[in-house]
Amino acid sequence: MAKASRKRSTHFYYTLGIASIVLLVGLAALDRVGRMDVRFFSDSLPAARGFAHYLVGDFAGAARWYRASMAASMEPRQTSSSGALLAGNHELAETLARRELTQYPEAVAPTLTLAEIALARGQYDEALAQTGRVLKLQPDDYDALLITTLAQARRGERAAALDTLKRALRQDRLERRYTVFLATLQAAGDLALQDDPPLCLLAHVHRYLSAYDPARTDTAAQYAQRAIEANDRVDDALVTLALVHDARGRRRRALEELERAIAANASNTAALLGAARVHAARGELATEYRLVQAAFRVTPDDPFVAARFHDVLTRELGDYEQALAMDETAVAARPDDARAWSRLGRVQSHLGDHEASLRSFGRSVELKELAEAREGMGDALRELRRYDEAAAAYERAVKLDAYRPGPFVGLAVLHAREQRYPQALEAYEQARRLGATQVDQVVELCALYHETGKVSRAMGCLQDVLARDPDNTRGRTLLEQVQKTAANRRPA
Amino acid sequence: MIAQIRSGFVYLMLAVLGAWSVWAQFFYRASQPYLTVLLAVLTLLATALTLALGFIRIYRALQRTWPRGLAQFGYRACGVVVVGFTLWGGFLFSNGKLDRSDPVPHATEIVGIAGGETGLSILPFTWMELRPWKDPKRPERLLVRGDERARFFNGQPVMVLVRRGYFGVAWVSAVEPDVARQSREILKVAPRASQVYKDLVRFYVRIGRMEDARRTAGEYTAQFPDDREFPVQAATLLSARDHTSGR
Repeated sequence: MAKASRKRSTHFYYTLGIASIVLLVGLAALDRVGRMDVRFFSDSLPAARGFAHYLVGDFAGAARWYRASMAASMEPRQTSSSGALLAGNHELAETLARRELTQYPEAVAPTLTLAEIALARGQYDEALAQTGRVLKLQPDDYDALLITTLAQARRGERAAALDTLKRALRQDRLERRYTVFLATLQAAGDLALQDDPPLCLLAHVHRYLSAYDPARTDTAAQYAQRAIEANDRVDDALVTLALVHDARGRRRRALEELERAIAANASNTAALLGAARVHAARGELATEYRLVQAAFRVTPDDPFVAARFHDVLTRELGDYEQALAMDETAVAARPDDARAWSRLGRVQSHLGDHEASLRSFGRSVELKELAEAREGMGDALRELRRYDEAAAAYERAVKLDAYRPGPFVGLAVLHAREQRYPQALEAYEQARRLGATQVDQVVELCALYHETGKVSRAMGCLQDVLARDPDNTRGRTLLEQVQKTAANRRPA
Repeated sequence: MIAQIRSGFVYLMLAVLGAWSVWAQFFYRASQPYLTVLLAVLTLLATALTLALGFIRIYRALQRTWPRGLAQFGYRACGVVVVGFTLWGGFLFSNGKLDRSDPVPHATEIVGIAGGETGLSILPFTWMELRPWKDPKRPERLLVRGDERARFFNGQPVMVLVRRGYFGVAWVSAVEPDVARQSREILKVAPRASQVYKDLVRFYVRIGRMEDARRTAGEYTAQFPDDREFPVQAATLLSARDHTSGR
């Protein structure tokens, strides 16, 4: 009987052990799948097959099945080129895209559709010509950069493809077109099957894919390691490796890899800016400044680097004189860069040269209708006491981008100046909803609450301000006034 | 059975007290070579054990089996230990909460952080060794909360704000990056960095180094004579702080 009991007990422990292992493996799988983007999951059979292909590393197969799934879910008679492309009808998509371009010659979406169709047909020159048109209009268009990368990679131009992909990856956004994602997924599979695969390029492609599936960072790290061993763009491979370490919270390792990348190629701006970012996260402003400055010196004509250096100089250091010199260099190098003119206008405004600022913003607006430039014009005109023109500029900025808080702040100031307090309050509240949470702006809102007799709201607003910035002198003075008003209102 | 279940819940309550003690030890932390870190780790272990014992006791009560002999002693010992640590946590809490002394800043450097960059696996805390500022032979170790961990790294210059403590046990109210050192470094390469001057003045005021704050505000005014706004802000800030510190 004791023997039988022992046997039962052993059996119980075996079962428990196996159940625990199954549970742990299940939890790990759930965790892995749970981190993936919803785009990998769809309730159709082709999508399930696509997912199975993806899980076993057959990315090209996965892309084909996901395309089939998408096409099956779409209405076959599409009226837009993008819709027809999603439905997998390339002929219709091409016809519609050309028609759309006849109506709107500068439209981006149909041009990208034509580029994607050309890429799918293996007409890489045509694809590059189409993306070139888009990039001329919008130099940082993520989808255009990805299609260009894929066309260059398919043509065997590995270095150019990698440089293009780096331009896309350094942005803090992703592609908008699902079809471009699928084309990239397919390329990740096809390029890996080449006899001499472009290792560093693949590392970067997987870095892109990791935005949708964090497990791809492992693949990116593996390709980067292989690229380093094969001496394939070592500096760029090291940057990818560093970003993988950084994503895993190993900041010191990331920094070491970035330093190795800079040692391998001192003009690698991705490495310089990456190292700057890590130092910034550690609060080492001086090192961040030196690295971003070095990146700007290496590539003064790169708008992305110029914008980053401008940010460091203005937001972190407050060195507007150096920023002025830098922005003047930038507009001299790229006189057609609307954003560079807008940045110059902002710096001139900070330095109190509002006439020059207005001219710079005006030049920016001539080149391209940017909401930020219109807002800057409004600020400059307000400083120059041309209030009606300022209001018009702010309203134009709101029309261009209704989610930008700055123009609402400007309008609020103008309304308050004219003692139109309800309108001012409304504009401030709208600005705050859109993210205008700078302490100074919130203090203005609190002051308006006080001005319009909303004492309790003013009190709450000021308490919020002083919780964030206990030393805010205007906030403290205002709170005293509000408290006095509240005391006077109380019945004796 | 009811008495046993009740007893199990008492252990769960003790675990809650243990958790509070851990919190108190992390928020009103004293800097010591070993003791405070050791006590925090032991409190955490004892709390986890008490929690487990509480559940086991309730489970056993439902099974109608009672702990005897050594197990019974274990329960009691664990309870006593957690109560002891709760008193220690209460002492540190009162020592910090009732303390009205001004923080005294000490510029130092992080020598090492336990668990390296990724911390101690799933544990939401760690500790760090700081370059000593009192006795050069006596290392200073400080508990680090999970939310603070990402801000610190080995070799980082930091400012430790030490307060006297109501019962005379010095405790650390904050560990901040040494903005002064970093700012002076940046001002060497970018002497016209107005924001850096402003941040430096605010930092000096925050840590109570008013003379340095005044001197830096003076440097700012000399560098940027056209700015009429910040000198007023700085003066208000300085006078407000002087007023609160009773000068």
